[in-house]
Amino acid sequence: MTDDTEQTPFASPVMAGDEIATLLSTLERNRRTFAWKCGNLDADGLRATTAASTMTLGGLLKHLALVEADWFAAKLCGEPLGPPWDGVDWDADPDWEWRTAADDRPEELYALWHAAVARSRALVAAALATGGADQPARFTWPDGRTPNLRRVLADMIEEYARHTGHADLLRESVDGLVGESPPRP
Amino acid sequence: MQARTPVIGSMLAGMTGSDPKTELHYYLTRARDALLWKTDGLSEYDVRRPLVPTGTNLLGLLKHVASVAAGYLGDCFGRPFGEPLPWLADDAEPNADMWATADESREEIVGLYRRAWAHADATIDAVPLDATGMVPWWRPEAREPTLHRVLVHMIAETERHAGHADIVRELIDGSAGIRADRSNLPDGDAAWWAAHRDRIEQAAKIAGAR
Repeated sequence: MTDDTEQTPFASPVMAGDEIATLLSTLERNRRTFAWKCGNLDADGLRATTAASTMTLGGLLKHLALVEADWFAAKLCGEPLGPPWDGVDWDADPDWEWRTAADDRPEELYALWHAAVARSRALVAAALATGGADQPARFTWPDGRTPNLRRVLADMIEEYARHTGHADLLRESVDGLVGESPPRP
Repeated sequence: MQARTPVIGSMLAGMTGSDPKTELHYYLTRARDALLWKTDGLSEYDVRRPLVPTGTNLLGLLKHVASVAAGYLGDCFGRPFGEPLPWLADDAEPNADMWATADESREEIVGLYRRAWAHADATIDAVPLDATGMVPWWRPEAREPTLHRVLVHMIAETERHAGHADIVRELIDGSAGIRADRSNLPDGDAAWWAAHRDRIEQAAKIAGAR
């Protein structure tokens, strides 16, 4: 997980760049922090719960992989979610990704999240080749609103940040690792 | 926090062609509302007590986020917040901004939280998105970010602390949810959740025994 830094388009958030660069670099920073908080754990670490919650670090990895596919592939680009999501009966099992993460091996969970992020990066790069932050997604909510790319990126930053807060305390309970940001390479 | 009807209204009007500042303000507002909501209905003890080994607690999260907001979206853009924040002073003990002393009332800290965000709102209104500020505690090459960059930072910062509050609150009384108006969780009762948790625990045990 820690090698993710090498793949990120921006080493750290740009400070006075354009809107898209700021949003993308902040999203990448949040992905990197999330990866660090979930990284280098064995199956027991990824399956551990706190005293009260059903949330696990493995479940977070699988959930964020789904959210990546949902926002960037499905909503932004109109593509199918793809495997393993397409075969799930979400009505019958709305918490499928959280529940089934306990059955997955660590390398499967890490690979799933990495692949989802790689796909998102490619889709965003393709979208930016033809439009900017105002470009509409392919998706429309039932009330008629259509999100634009700006909204998709802001939502993903929100999503990662909130879940990284969960990961902070889950990881602290697993092995005591704490801190705001991964060590600089 | 006060309801921000104009912001919500513009969101409902449509997303495409939206104003970047309005949109980021919307995300910031719902992050800080969620964090404050996590303290609702808790006793004086529960709102202060540490739930993890490093002492994370709800009132401390409010105190910290209020202080950070007053800095990033106040002093850093030439608009001093004006209230003393002694827990951030150079000679303050480590983490003094992350918990409430017995002498600090809940009303004082919630009041500080509301005033700091009101000050931040005034800064956001007054300063253009592409104006640069000064953040002395950032790396030297990064100390002059735009308001846009700082807004995005504060959304992430506040949401991350709201994530801490999610876990702390769940440890206190088992309640969970993303925002006051939408839980974003399956619609189960306590028995459903207890069974759901047992199911996950069983799956983990079976997988762990392999």
